[in-house]
Amino acid sequence: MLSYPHINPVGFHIGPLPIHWYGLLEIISFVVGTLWLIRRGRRREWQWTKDEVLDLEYYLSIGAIVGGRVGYVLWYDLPYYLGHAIQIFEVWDGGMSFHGGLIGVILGCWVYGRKHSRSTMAILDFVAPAAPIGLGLGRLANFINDQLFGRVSHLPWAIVFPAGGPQPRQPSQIYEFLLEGVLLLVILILYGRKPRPTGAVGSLFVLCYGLFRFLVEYTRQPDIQLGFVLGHLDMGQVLSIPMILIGPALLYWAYRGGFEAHYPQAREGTRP
Amino acid sequence: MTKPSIPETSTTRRDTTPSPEATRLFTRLVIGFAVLYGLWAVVLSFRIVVQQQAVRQHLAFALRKCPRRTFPTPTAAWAVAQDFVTRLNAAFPTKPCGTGAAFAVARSPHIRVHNCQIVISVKHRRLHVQGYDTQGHLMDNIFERLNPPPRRL
Repeated sequence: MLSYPHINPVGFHIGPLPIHWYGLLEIISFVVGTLWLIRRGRRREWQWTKDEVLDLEYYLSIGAIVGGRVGYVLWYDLPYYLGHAIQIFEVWDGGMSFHGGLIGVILGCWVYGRKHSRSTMAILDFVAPAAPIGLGLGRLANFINDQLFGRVSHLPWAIVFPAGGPQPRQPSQIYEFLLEGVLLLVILILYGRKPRPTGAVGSLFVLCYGLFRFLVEYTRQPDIQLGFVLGHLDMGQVLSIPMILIGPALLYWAYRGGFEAHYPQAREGTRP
Repeated sequence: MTKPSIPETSTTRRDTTPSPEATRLFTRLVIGFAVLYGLWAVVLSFRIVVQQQAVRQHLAFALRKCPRRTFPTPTAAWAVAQDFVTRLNAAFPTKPCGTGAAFAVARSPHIRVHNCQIVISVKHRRLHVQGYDTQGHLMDNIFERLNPPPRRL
């Protein structure tokens, strides 16, 4: 059994303002992700200017925050929020759903694509490899914040989380950091090194995230207000099932060329 | 005899590429599936939260009111357990999900599934409380004591 490394959730103070690790890690992931996308956008196959990337980030951030919150309210605690509607806007009190955030990001890509004549799937391909940076650091922040820990376990590396009572628990945040952060980043970088059909990288993200999340949830303590929701499955797993089903379907369609931009000239072999 | 291989040209490749109409239909199917699934998940979640909230309140109440002493004999402990369950069922007559009573003694022979039920048992002449969630999984008393309802995480 390992002991929990009591890390103060407040990293440091700027004057009277406490800077929490959670917020700091989110900002770091946002900055690193943006810088990486700017660098990635310079490559010949992408051709995104710095201003375009920053503009896109605006849509993605709005989509992730609004989608994440709406997803949490709808899928994790709707009866509570129906009685406390004003608290839906109190995002600083916690409660975000990855699956809702993903839908928000996809909608953000779609709106941006409509405005700037870019394909939604091509935008998703461009941004998908940067997502694991935020996801991974977010899980580390969960660990530091002593939240979203695992189920009771007696494995040698189980940890007693102060907020989880005296029993040792699975450090599921670390598993999630390793799978949804590190491994997913490596997979997407390696896969994206060669030119792939439009939509393939984004589809692979959907498939891999769904799979990793589904597996890790077996070690994670279900949300207390829900418990298990469908036999042995918790809500995170229920919401990951469509990702595991849709991901391969999107990959198949991408490899058939279904998401390639259709230009009238292409029939004559003069696709730009 | 081996078949002569047909060299892949831009023409043969184009034939297998879905048309824009096919892609539009595919996209609509995927979005339709995701929307319907998402709505089903909302309904499922709503039902489970309401039921689980009731179970958690039952468990919290039983944990708070459960006699803590050691009884002189197992028979005396079982008698107190039975009386405790009767009083609990009178206070909370509705079981949040499934059939049967909201509270039961452990040795009730007719109980096979425990979902949404609080079970009182006797171990070493003492009463023990066990809660089962909406899916019949044993709930964590320590975790529930740390986060009594209506607290959420």
